[in-house]
Amino acid sequence: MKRKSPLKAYSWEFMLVGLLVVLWIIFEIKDSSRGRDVFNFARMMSGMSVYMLYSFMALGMALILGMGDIDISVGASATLSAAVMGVLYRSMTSGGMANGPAFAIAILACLATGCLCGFLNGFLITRFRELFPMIVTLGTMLFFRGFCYLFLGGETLKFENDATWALLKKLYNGSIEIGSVSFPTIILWFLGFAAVFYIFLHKMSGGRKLFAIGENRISSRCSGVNVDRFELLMFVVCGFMAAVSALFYIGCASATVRADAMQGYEMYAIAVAVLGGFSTSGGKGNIIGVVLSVLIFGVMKKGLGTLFGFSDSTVNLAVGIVLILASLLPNIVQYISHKKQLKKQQTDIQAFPSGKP
Amino acid sequence: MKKFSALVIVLCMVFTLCACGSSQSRKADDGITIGVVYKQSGNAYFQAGITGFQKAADELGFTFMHDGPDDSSNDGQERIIRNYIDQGVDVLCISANDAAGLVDVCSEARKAGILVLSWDAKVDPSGRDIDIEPASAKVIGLTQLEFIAEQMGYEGQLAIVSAGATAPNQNLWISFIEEALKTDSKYANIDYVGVAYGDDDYTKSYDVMKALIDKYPDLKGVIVPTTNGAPAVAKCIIDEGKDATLKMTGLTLAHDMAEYIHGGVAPATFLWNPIELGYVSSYVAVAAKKGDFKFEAGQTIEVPGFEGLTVEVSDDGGLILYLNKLNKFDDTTVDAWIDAL
Amino acid sequence: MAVILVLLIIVVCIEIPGYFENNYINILKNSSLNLVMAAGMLCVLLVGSIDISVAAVLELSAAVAGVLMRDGHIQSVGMMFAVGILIGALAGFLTGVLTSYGRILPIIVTLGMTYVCRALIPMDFILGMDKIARIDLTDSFKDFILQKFLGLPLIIYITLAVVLLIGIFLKYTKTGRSLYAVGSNVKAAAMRGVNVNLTKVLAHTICGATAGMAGIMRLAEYNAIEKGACNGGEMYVIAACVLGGVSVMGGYGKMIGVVIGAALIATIDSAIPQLFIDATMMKEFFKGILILAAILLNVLFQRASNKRMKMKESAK
Repeated sequence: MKRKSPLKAYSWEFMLVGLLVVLWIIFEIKDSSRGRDVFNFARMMSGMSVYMLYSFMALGMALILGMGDIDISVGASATLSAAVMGVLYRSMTSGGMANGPAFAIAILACLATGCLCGFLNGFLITRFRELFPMIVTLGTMLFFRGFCYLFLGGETLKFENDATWALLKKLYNGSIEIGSVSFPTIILWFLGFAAVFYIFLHKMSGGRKLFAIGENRISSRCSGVNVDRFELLMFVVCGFMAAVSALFYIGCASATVRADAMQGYEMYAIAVAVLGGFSTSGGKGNIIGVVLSVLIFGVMKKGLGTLFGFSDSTVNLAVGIVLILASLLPNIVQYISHKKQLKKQQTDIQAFPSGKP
Repeated sequence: MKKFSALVIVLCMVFTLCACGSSQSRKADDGITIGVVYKQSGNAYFQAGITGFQKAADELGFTFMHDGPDDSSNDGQERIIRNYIDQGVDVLCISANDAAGLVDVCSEARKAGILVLSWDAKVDPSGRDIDIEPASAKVIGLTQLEFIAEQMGYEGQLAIVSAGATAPNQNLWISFIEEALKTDSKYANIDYVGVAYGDDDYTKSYDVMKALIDKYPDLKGVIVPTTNGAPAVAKCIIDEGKDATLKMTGLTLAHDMAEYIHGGVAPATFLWNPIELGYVSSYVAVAAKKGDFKFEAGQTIEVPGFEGLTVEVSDDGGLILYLNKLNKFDDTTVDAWIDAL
Repeated sequence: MAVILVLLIIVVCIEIPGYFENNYINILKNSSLNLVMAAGMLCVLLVGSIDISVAAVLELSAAVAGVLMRDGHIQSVGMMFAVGILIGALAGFLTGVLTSYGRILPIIVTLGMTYVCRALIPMDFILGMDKIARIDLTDSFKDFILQKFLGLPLIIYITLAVVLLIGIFLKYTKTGRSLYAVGSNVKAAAMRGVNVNLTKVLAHTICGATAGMAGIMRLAEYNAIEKGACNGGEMYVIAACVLGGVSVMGGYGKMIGVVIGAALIATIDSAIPQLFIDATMMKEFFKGILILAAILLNVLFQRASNKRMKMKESAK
């Protein structure tokens, strides 16, 4: 087996960087043809936060996709986590509890709910192997969403705008000044989480296990990996990341939650993870790619929206096309290089008709 | 080579994308720029509102952009508002999906010197400068109730098919209707069976209406205070063969409902004119930006075709401007409105 | 599976007196759209693929056909169906080519297709900000759906025809059986001379065509279409197939199962608003639980029956 050159191993990531640079250049050109300076690094960074909400889900989704599974209930479990958090906080504070501890407990409850949702998914998937994860999580998605409606009903749950909630808003909306550029804290949080995921996935045995399962579930079971338990754990992590997204969402939506919040986020998360190089058939992917693709989606949506005046649905059209082309591209490239190889082989054979090279 | 070809393809792809879009780009000039944000793209009601903005733009000479999220979500609106802030609009006119959910981003916009108007559906007072509404919620609710009660002969079962359970406008109107049903002796013989939610979705409204008819076969009247639900409810009543005994009214577009109004299942429906709503909103926006109009109670504004537009303090403590004009679409008047609404 | 359906209907009948008598036609009618799409979905699932863009394709084809009718290009019912099916088939064909020849995972392709279709509808050359309303449709189109034959609405016969056609195609034609072959073992199928890629394209085209057809049926039934009208509909289509015992891994599934699955979902759909008319929030909640429970119960039943079969075999 030939050892992969590092360049080749990261070729997808290089392509993403290329895409990012190309987008950037185009937007820069477009921007300079206008009167206002809309597109620059500082503005881009400060405007990113609203496109980052699903990035945490995308990290969790990357784990799931790496194993060859899929989880389309993340959006609903995030909403459920936020709902539980809100309901609990309200009942505790109205019961006379101080804001600080109630807030802490509510956040813990939110994260715990996310884990629980993930656990339920993982449990059902590992116990009901006949069903595709897509089907199970489809069911749980309806189930979680139903729970949200049960908890919240039709109202918009609004938190009192006190100091504790201002903290959460700051978490989402706050920024750290580095030089002249203010980085939203949400990006730093995301990079932090991404680093942890990167180490886990690419530097520790857990990541090898995960990709082995994605490659071939049976053979990794035979080689002594407790596949069911590992898979369950990964679903819990995915649920946890959904709950993290929920925290940031509350910050985004002026500290409110509704039962229909975050609908369709699962699809964004999947799109980001797939553009990042993870495939739904499992076994490959790189967290760096996910980070890059979060940036690409953010820059693309922001740029198309502000510079080109694309409407929201047209931006979605662009996202759909990029998604398909990005998945098609490596296959075409592979096909071409394969053809070339075949041709080369043929000419080799023709050059040596005796068959001896 | 491989990577090169990949890059070339990517380049082509991105350029085509941009080529598609450049035709849509709007240039910024020295005049006033208004960013109009509505609840959802692809909604005919807001198309009418945009017509009003366009009409005012032709008269006053401002430029405006408009967009709504694909999925009628709160964060989608936040996304669009942030884009508009970056593009440097002077005024934002927002029809909010969630009054409370947009407060933060609107406050940010105001900090950046942008005036925030809400039209059609309010943003909470802390996030807006002024709210522009067609008529007070009480008038809207009670007009519909009085009409349907008259049709029912002030007795029998009455139901409401609303939009989403989270819709703030609808909930407000319904609360006034329910209050009147409880307190006003005129409606004492009306048996109110409750609200069903069709989520502003045609199919769901249809199904929910069918379920209502199955459960309450003696139903005599339905109020549908939502433009998307009304044609579904009317269609369902006809399909179930109840159109002789069961009448409906509601807030509807003329175009959607013309056939049902002529057919008699909906003797008349109501709506303010969203074109006028957009029109007045733009006049307020421009006047405020130029400094001719201040955000305080008692201020008046001159808009062609309107009289006595005065700013009031609304129930939520913020400023509000009512157009106080409600159109009635019935057998004789509806055809005149078909092309406009 | 049928057991669950019967159980559910009995429970519902006890809860709501007079439910079945009033509703059986409605159940059939309600399930018709879902069933037509599920029949197409069956083909896709059989070859081991999946299509989550059906709802978006439905909207697109209904919107385009509706616009053509509004602008007076189409008058007849037949043409409407032709246009709808053509658009759907085109979308399905594209999906099929991308998945089979392009080797992209079907879920990604169809996710992208969903974005594309939904974004195309509000473009100025299709619907723009408008929607298709009752007034835009010709009388013959509006009347056709109300016609009844032997006491049943016409739409049920159309559905039955589609289901039978696809069912016969799958069971009795060579091409149809090759769908099963591709789904159960790609290599073996290829060895036996089945053109795997072409078969996949065919399956996707059928699925797209049924979605397009469902779009016209929906337009006829509701007399209105707008963007996002069928949001989330694909989930119920897939759920109907899974409830019907179709394997998502490909190669296994029967049309009769899909019919029962669709009927089950329609029953849940029509019963729940009646059970919880005053408590809308409960409605969503129970719908989720019921569908999840039905799927899981189905697996448990299957396991039990497999076990019994094995026991029987070992006893022999």
